[in-house]
Amino acid sequence: MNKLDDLNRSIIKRYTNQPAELPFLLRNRIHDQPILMYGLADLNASLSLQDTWIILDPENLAVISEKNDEVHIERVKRTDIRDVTETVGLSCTVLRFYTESESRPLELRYSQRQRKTMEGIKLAVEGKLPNDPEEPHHADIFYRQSVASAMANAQLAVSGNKLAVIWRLLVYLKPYKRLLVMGSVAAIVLTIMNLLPPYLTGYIIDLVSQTQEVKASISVQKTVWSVIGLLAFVYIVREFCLWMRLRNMSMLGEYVAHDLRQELYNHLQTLSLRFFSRKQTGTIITRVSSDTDRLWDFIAFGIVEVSLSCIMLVGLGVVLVCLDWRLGLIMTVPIPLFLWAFYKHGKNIGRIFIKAFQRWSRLTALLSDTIPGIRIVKVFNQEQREIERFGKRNSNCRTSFNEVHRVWTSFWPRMMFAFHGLTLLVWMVALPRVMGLSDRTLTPGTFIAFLLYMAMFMHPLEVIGQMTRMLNRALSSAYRIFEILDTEPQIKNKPHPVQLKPVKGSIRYDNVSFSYDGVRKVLNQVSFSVSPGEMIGLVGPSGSGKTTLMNLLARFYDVTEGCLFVDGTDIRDVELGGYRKQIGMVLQDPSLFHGTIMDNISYGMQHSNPEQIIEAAKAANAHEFICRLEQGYETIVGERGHTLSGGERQRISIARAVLHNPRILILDEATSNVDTETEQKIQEALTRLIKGRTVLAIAHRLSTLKRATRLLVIKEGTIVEEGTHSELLKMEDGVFRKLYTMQQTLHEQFVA
Amino acid sequence: MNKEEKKPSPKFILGENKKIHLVLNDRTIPVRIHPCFPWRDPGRFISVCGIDGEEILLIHATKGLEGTSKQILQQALLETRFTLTIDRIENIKKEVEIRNWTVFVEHQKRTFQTELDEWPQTLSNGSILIRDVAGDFYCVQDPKKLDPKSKKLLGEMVG
Repeated sequence: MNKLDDLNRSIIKRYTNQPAELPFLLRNRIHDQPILMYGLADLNASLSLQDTWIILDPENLAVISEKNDEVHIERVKRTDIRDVTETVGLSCTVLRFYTESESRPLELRYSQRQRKTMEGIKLAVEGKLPNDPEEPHHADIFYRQSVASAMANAQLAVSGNKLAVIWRLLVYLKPYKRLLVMGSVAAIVLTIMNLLPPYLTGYIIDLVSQTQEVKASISVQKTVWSVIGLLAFVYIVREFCLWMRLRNMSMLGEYVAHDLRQELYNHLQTLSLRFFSRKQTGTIITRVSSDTDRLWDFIAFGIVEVSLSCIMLVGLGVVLVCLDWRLGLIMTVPIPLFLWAFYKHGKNIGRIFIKAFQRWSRLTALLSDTIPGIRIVKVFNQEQREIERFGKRNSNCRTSFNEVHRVWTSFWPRMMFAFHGLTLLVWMVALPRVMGLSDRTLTPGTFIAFLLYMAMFMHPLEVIGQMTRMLNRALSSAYRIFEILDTEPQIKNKPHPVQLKPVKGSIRYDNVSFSYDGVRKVLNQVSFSVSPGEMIGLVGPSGSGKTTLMNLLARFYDVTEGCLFVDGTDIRDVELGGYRKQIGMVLQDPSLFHGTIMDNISYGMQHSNPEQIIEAAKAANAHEFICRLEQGYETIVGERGHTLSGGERQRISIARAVLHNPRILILDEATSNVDTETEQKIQEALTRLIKGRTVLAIAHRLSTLKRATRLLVIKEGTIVEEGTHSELLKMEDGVFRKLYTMQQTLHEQFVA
Repeated sequence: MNKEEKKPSPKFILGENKKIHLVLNDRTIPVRIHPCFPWRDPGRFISVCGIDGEEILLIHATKGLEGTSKQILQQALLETRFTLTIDRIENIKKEVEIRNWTVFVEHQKRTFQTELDEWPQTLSNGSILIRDVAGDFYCVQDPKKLDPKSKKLLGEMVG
């Protein structure tokens, strides 16, 4: 909790202009009572930015504002508050506290950033939140968590310390030291080998440009051939080192990417649903695929390229100065200018790219809209309009990308022109010396070696110039990966969990409350018991908390308050894996994985034999339609597989549940969205499935819950009615009766 | 004259404790107001709903309302459709997964963040609207009136 609070504090400090806690001086002025909650209203009555603190203690609500350097405190007794209203606008919400004594309400205005905090205060004033938080710094923690949550959800938990992230990334290289050492040594030798050929070439030229007598001497000829032999050796070693470097570093990168991918996927499996509801599926997939791939690229090529370019640049500088310091300085002194130019160019083109990507994303968004919705486009005869819309966005893209091309194409000739300018300068300074017109003579070989070295300058300069961009891209990927790895699973086993084997199926919700966001209660003090083998139907309007009750039973989330007992044991003390094996779920939209029907039925029971699978399919009324498929149980379904109807998919998921043989069964709208005939088949299958099990079922078609032992009617997170189907129908003005009658009337109207 | 013109214009009063009420057939009903087109046509098509959220009335234009009612409605609309107005952009920095904006709202510095794929939206009146991760709207009323630096920074974001 402290770690999370520290993170929230740093988010507020880094990303907002507001304090990370109630200022000490103000806290001191309200010190007579413990502070339960506080928040910041950041707009004043004329809708200008101005800070007003609101502080809640067990007795009072205090509003503290500053005007003309004077602190103004307004206190309202909580017992005096008779109503609280919230008027939500686009970026201004008005919270009004109506009191017994004042005719004018106490008004607070704030932006969306403060809304979660203020909602918490509103709920607390209304008595919907406990008044005695156990945590001593609850008010600070709540404030920081509420303000930082939007940023925390959008951004990352680990961004910030670049060095720490690089270091952490390097730790992944540790198991592959051999590859790393071999790859690095090969890379260093390769760089040195790259520096040798120009020197040897110059040396040979100096030898062959001697006088005829000298050239004819055997020792010179021997030397020339020896140098050529040395050159051949250098080339062989160079290519060998290149092969060694590419092979070892590519493999090293692949190993690291593999380890990260595996660790990431393993960790994802341990995370609770809360994490998955917070993050979009697409971004999680990107982290496992693209981000690890980008890191491979960085490790395999990026690090080496940058390091080698640095070595190469230093090496070239030293060699040039050693060959001839005057000419060497002409080349080396402008290096910082070249690096700066590359860096600026990278930044400049990056800015233009933002716009190009923005336009590109608008273009692809249009495609994502119109291609899946092509039938609507055609029905409304809007083809021409869509062509024009696409044309406009396409032209915008072209303009932006042409701007990118204009910038980079004009940059390179300018750079090359500057470089050629240096080359000309070198020629101008060196030529008189090569021709012997100056005192300081220069041999043709040295001059040619110098020119060859000069040609090697551009590549390392370019790589180093782009280093920042490359590093930032790799760090972004590393941040994204480490964020997932650093997320603690919220649902996990206690140190010595209780093994429930087998589960008998008695369930007891004891004053259970639950909130997804820590503020709004989705369930409020719900209590009921279910005996083994009983079937309970949960009824109520959408958003009343029915599915949440199911999610708690499957322990996808833990209760916020109260206890949930299974066979008399608190579900939080039960060993999770063993418990979940005894729970079955049939959901409204059954998920089938890519694979055969057989694989899908035996998912979770991989060692089932064909007889068991067929038996389960028969029980689920699925056998017949499966047999009608050409490849029977071996038909591939799921993504890009055979298309099954909703009812067929549902029956496969029921067969999966039958084979799983759970002690507790959860049915969440299992017969929604199917036709009457299919529904009948599914109902038959379900009747067989629920026999002898404890069942919790949600159904919008209330008639399907007739066989439930009891029905619980849930409204706004509480149980408002309880009884058998017929008992509830007898209740005058009952919620269930009203819903049932409404459905019957609708049904009759449609049938008629 | 059509039927609509014959209808008496709706009357709004500020009820007890400043709550906005609609006077309808000698009854006063507490209401909430929602502009249907907050950007394109803020002064027209105002949905007046009861506390339960059901629409009671759709006002086609505030122009036709009588003095006090018009004033009450306009004040309520001001709060409902309020956005933070940017008068200067100091910096827009791309970070991991977000863009961090440092701006001046009525001469006060404020930072906010947008997701990387949340681009500023150009409205039909030429204003630019930006929505941050918390859900707040920031508006540049007239981008042409921005200083050159702000214009350049914003220009990179607007297609």
